[in-house]
Amino acid sequence: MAVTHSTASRNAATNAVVDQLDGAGSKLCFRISAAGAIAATLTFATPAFGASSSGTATAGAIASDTNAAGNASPVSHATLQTSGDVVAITCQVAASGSDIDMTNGLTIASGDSVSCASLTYTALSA
Amino acid sequence: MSELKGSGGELRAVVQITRKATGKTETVELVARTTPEQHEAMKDFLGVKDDGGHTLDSK
Repeated sequence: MAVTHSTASRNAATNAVVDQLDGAGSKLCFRISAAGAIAATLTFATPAFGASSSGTATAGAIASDTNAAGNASPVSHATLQTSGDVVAITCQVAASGSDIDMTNGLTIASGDSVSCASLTYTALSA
Repeated sequence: MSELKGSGGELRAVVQITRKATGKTETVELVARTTPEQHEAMKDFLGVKDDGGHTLDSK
């Protein structure tokens, strides 16, 4: 039997995580490895997320990186961190749908502009 | 006894990249899973033990 959590528990877990990013200047960083070089840095609104509902929190407006640092290696991870670079979330990323040629993975070149139209976080899916 | 495993965190994002070289905009939907270490930290936060019990369970 799988472990399941009540909606209240899932909301509490999600809020506990995203509330760490409530301070001004929290960032979404796309990296070439878990703690590796950053290819693009986007800035969250303050606070970064709204309150969790049904276990999922939705990010507010995210400022684009209009001049990405870029990297020849493909993006493999994303970190959500404070302005002081305290990492709250580290994720391995993969594309579920894309019109990008993903043959060599998701790469961001120096000078590219990277924006995030929507972002949601769920701490516990069940 | 079945080995119990919880479900990890998930982040979903729609990202657009406008290429400096061509000016074209490409869209990708990303699905990100938290790392095993993150998953363990969340289990600790909720008091979930590896055997499916809870740290508040009476001994």
